[in-house]
Amino acid sequence: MTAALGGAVNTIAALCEFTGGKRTFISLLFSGLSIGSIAALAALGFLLMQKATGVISFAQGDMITLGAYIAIWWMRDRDAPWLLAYVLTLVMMFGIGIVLERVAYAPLKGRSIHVVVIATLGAALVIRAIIALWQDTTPTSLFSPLKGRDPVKIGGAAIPPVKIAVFVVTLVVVAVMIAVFNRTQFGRQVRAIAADRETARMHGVAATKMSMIAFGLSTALAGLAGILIGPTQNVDLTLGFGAMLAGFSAAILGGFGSLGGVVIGGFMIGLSEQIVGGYCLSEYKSAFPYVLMLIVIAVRPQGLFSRGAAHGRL
Amino acid sequence: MGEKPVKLWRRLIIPVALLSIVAAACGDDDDDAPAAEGTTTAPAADETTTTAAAATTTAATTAPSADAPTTTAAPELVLDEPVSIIGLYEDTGESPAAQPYFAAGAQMAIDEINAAGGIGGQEVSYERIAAGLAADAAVQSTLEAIDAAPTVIIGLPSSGQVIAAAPEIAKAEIPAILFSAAPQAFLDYEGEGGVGNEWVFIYRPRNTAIAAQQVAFVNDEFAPTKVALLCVNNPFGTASCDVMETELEALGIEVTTRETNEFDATDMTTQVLAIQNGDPDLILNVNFPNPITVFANQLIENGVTIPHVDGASAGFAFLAGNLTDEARDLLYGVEDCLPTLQNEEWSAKYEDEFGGPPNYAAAETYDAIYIIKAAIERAGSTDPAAVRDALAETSHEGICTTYETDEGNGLHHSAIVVDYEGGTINIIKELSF
Amino acid sequence: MLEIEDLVVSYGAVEAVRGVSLSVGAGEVVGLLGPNGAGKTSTLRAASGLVSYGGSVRFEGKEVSRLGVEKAAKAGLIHVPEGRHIFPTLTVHENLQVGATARAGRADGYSFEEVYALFPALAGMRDRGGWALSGGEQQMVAVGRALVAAPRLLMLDEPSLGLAPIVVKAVFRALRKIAERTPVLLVEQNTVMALKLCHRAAVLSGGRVVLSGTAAELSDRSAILDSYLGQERVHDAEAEHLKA
Ligand SMILES: Nc1ncnc2c1ncn2[C@@H]1O[C@H](COP(=O)(O)OP(=O)(O)OP(=O)(O)O)[C@@H](O)[C@H]1O
Ligand SMILES: [Mg+2]
Repeated sequence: MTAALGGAVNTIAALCEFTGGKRTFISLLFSGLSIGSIAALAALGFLLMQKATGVISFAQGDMITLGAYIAIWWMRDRDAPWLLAYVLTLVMMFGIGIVLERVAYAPLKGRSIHVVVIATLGAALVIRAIIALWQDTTPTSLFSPLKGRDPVKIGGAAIPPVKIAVFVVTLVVVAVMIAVFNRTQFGRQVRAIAADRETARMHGVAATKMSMIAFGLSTALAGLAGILIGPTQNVDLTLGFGAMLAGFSAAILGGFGSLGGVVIGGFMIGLSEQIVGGYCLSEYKSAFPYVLMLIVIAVRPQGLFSRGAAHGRL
Repeated sequence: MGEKPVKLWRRLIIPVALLSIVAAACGDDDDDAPAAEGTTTAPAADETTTTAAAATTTAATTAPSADAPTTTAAPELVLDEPVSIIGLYEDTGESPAAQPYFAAGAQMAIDEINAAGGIGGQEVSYERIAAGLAADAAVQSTLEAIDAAPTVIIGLPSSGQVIAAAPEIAKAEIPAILFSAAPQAFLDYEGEGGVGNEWVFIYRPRNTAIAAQQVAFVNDEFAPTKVALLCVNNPFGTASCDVMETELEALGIEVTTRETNEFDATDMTTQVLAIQNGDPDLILNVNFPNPITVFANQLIENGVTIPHVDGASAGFAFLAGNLTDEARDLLYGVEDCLPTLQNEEWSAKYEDEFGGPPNYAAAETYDAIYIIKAAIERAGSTDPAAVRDALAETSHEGICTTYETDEGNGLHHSAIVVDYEGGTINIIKELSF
Repeated sequence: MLEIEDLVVSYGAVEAVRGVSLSVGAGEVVGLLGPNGAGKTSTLRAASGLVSYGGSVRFEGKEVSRLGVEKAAKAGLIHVPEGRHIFPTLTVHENLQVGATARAGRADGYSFEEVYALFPALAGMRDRGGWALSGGEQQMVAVGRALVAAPRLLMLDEPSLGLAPIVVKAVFRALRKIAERTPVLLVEQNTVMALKLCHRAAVLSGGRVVLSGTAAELSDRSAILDSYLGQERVHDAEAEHLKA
């Protein structure tokens, strides 16, 4: 036992290099939190839609990209002030989610879930093509009032305000979502539909309306993710893809169960990539989240934070 | 059956209204700048993409010649067989990554040549096949081209395409002048997996030659004693960094760290901190546009204010507009050719015709068509072996540079170093090799 | 309230209901009895709009298939399904809250407190998850969830199924109180209990009504009833005994 432990410690020591002290750790921590935040937001979008409709929409990634482009369009081409542009983007994304529900999901109701998931993939390609035609494929940039601001010094580490904002906004959104899901009639209705669609409808829960709202909300969440990551990098057609993968992995880690579970899953994704990957085998760090996901699928297919399908609370 | 009877219009009204809002919003946008810059999403900046220079420019070198480049006027040639060229590249809209530049540059040259009487009195028939980026799609398109038995094949913008298609071209014994400068595509490549052959000529400068030139440039310009390397984790990054590392060592310059990142990296904290710990004088970067942007900005955030030299992707990073001023002013890029700066007159003509400024790919593909013309004229026939041998003797003054065939069948031996100080692209050095 | 005429329900080639007519008037408690596979559940599912049907089902004059499940529920036609179908991921109280969705502003229904008064056992477990309830508790929640919707007609599908006799008694005690305020269409195999509660009943077999009349008439003709149901009654009694 102690020998095995000693062996493990030696292996870690061989593969990992703990340099840079507190400053490095804090930098990596905040990078992990900001990547994790985006993963968490994307995962919430997946979860919400899955709960309300059973569908896992792979259009989420391109919706993130679209959100960033719509915000860019409002600011650059329509001269909207940034806050207004953000709000209008979220409103438009909500509407686009409803359109997606009507054109890609509603007509396929009753078809195999695989058909619907493939349809979301088709929708993703259509969205991408529309962005390419509308905004062209040149990498561009999204304004943020925090961009280029002096970094905040925390324990010697320079943390850009954009990263802090991503984290804080995500925490707020998660708190609001948890409150909505556990305290409002809408939240209870979505959970009822997720648990037993037919019985929910027998008690007057309007499944169609719920599915439209769920598509709208998860698309707006994707838009928010786009607005948050857009300013941290070049915006191009691939902007949302990585975030979607991270979000999907986060949702799997959380077992597509509880809201808190997938959010924690998101932060595990970000932190494992940045902190574990920062010190150990850093050439492979981008693979860490997925390795983590595969291990979870193998060891605990129901996810880390769900007590089996019947028990989880949103 | 449950919900079927609900009135259809009530379920449609919201989406229809929203769609019309969206449609209206998009419709208004028509007056927008015509696709300013063609680039691709995130394809290898080593190949299909390089900065197109739409940005405002300061110091512009004046063009050598505006009109069709003059080649040594051959004695009046009369061909009795037809001349045909097939271009293997996509045009805008054929895939999300497709750019207009290859098709436009080639078309411009073909139109000029035919307007002036063609080659050897024969009108040049030119056809384009939209070759996909995937290797098998490229082979498919190449075989299609081979079936048509053209005089010369031109195109293939990405290394994967060239590596897959070059053996087919050799088998078919049709001369080809290809775009991507993957090291394996050159005749003198010594490693494993080389596909270079006597039928294939390459009209972009070699990636590895540029890497060596970058080292020479930073040595002359900044005389660093310690340099950090950052290389995107793909064959292009690895090969270029290997060359740089060797060249740096030969110059006695210490390599403090060699970091890598994925082409789609969105956070470069680890790399920035590792490089900072080595305390270098300068950073050489072989990367993609997005990681360059993120990395350059994170360097400044962490107080690392040293020159940062990348290749062609730096231009994209600059044009995307995401660099902070400080990060931008420390960044250097290397480009094959910036027609808007190096040949304003030709660029103006191009822009008149196609509604947007040209980039390196347009200029080089335009040049390649004239290289073919000169070769056929020198060969005095369209016999494949004769044209091939004539291509091997190329010396042609193009838009940005003079092309000369080297022992590896490479044609292009120049590049320029630029910076972006003050928000404009400025040529600071011309490299030739 | 509810008029069912010539109802036909088929699942592919299987005809589960073959021309059933039945009505429930205001203030009435009507039983629908019959052996396993007789088509009772199918009749209820058609009546609440869950499956498509031939013939007609009108609730307060409106054709249910036109209303659709959700609208029919909102109009006050509340169906407590066979097997309870509690929302396992919601607490007891949240289950009731979802039930209130169908209330649609009707003032005359049960409040949450009235439900807890009717089922005192639930009062202490408002925050317990649906997944952690016993069969009897689940049935109480299912009925309570229906009551908070202020039903204009309550349709219950085998509320005694799988419950211990003592629990069955408690459920029927509650149903008796409910029936004073709300019309009920009760599907049961427990004929004795059902006939005590109902004013009228119909016996279904092979998808057809084979016998109908007032509760008193049917109780008097228990021999015929037994010929339709006897086998199952014995069987059920045994099953209940074993479970208890
Ligand atoms: N979804 C279905 N698909 C096919 N056949 C079905 C389906 N549901 C019910 N049936 C068949 O229809 C017939 C009537 O079933 P139904 O459930 O209505 O009977 P029931 O009277 O409620 O029986 P029980 O007392 O067992 O609940 C049975 O033969 C049953 O097998
Ligand atoms: Mg039944």
